[in-house]
Amino acid sequence: MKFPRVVVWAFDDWLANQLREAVTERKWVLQSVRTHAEWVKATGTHGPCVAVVQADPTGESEKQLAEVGELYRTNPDTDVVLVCDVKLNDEDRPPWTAAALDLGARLVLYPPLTQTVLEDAVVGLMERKVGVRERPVRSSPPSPQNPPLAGKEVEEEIDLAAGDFEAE
Amino acid sequence: MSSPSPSRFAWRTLFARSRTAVFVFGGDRKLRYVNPAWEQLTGKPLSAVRGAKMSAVRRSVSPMAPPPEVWAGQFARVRRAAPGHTDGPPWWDLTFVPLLGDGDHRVLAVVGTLAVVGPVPSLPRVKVPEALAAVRASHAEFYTFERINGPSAVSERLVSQVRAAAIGEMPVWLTGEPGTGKETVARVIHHNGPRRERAFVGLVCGGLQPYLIDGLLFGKGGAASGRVVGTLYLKNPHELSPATQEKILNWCDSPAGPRLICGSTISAAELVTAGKLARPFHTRFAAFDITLPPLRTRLDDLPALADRLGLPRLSADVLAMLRMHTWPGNLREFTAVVAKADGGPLTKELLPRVIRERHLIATNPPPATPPPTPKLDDILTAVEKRLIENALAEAGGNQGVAAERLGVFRQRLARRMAALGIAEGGE
Repeated sequence: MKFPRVVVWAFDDWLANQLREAVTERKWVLQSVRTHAEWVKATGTHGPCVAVVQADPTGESEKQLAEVGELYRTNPDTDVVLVCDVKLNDEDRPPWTAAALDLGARLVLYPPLTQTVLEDAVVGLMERKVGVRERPVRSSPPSPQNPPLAGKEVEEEIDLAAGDFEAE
Repeated sequence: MSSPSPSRFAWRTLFARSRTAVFVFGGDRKLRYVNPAWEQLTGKPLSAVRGAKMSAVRRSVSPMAPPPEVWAGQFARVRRAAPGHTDGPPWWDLTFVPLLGDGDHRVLAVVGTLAVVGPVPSLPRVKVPEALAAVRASHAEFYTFERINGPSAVSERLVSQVRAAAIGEMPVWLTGEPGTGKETVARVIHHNGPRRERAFVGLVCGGLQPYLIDGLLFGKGGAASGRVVGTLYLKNPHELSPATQEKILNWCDSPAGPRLICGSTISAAELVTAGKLARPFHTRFAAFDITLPPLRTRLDDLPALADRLGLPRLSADVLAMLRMHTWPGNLREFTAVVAKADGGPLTKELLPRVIRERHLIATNPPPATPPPTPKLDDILTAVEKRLIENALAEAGGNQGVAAERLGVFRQRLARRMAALGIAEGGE
């Protein structure tokens, strides 16, 4: 059996690092690629796969989008989540989103992007492929501030905003 | 110029002169040093923060805390919301470099840098560039009627239905087994229909959280906010929440709404009856119902499909093997099989074991009816009869001699001969 794969094609490791915990927890494979050749190799094999592509609409994003389109035509079962690198204004966003979706992207995410949103998108799409459903259904975006986990020891902390540091 | 010796190297001076905000954690995970640039950036003096311990458990209130992998000796770069903000921007971009000890690879200290990333400016209007428009155009050219055509009768019927659907703008419901190419058919309808200048949006209804679908379509600057979507394809719409189903129906009903195409393994009528789908999906948005044929009913298309996937001509024996398979995964399964050839010829050895075994069984049929297993009594009777006949033959038909040879009384031999139907002469 081929292991489910999450392929991340981004400018740096930030996106892959955001997904690492969720992916390894489920024993999926995380592949972080930088170049076109690595991307083609990583997405060329069949099996459950979700790809995350980072693109800059103000730059030469058509290269990444062309690859998204190519992947969709050759392997339509690979779901692509496009992560936009910059914030677009309300006028520009719909046509750019539509262009990306038209080429086969399943979801387009814009900044500010939180780890939970990224995990919800990638894990949700992959869980549909592998036939499991573990994540709770959320009708609204999760709050960025998660409460401390029950039963885990919370170490001594400082709040830089509050200014009440404990000096040695 | 000689470099300073390590013992004399004034690293504090170097950090003090740097414009980069630098901090140092000790091996005990306490903050030991911050440089003036850090103090200026955060507004906190060194004296106030020295010795503070920061935890990774609640990073939201302790954004300086090194992630766990740093204490395991790995380099890390993270972006966190700045203190006082539940979410960025502004962000804090933190880089952590662990300094490992000589012997046991224990982390002696962690040196880090901090940079504040402000709000991402909203850029001036960006048109979809021409290069991107060209990419979309070439993408659209891929989805011709030839993409789904084939020599089989069922394919011809499918193409004629799709042509009819592409002419109008009525909603379409596609029913078909998994892997029969419902989304590809939806694409063909869109890219050959009157709304082809606008975008085709394929929505995976199961798996994505409702808020993600809501944001994508109806959020600020979402796809529904401009007249940019030509066709909305819903993959298994019954997996959407009732609220989202309602929103999508309202959008599709509006003058600026897209054409709706739905794909499922089950018909709209059945889903509505089961209470999984809003009634309008069946009454108003399934005007044109197309059932996609499974691959096992269009085996005549296999050579054409292989050709379309860039495979050299299939050999007769491989084609015969492919035709014997039932293809439960339909075109998706066939594509995966063809992919193994990697552009070269598809040989028997590359075929999955299930196909090879099915062919082997079909070409080497087992015997039609195995011979019945003989009963023990019948065997013993036959043996007894043969022994008596042999003894009589050797004795020249003399029953007394034959009985003696067989070790039985003559009367018993006579009874057995009568029972077994042996004639007096031993014939």
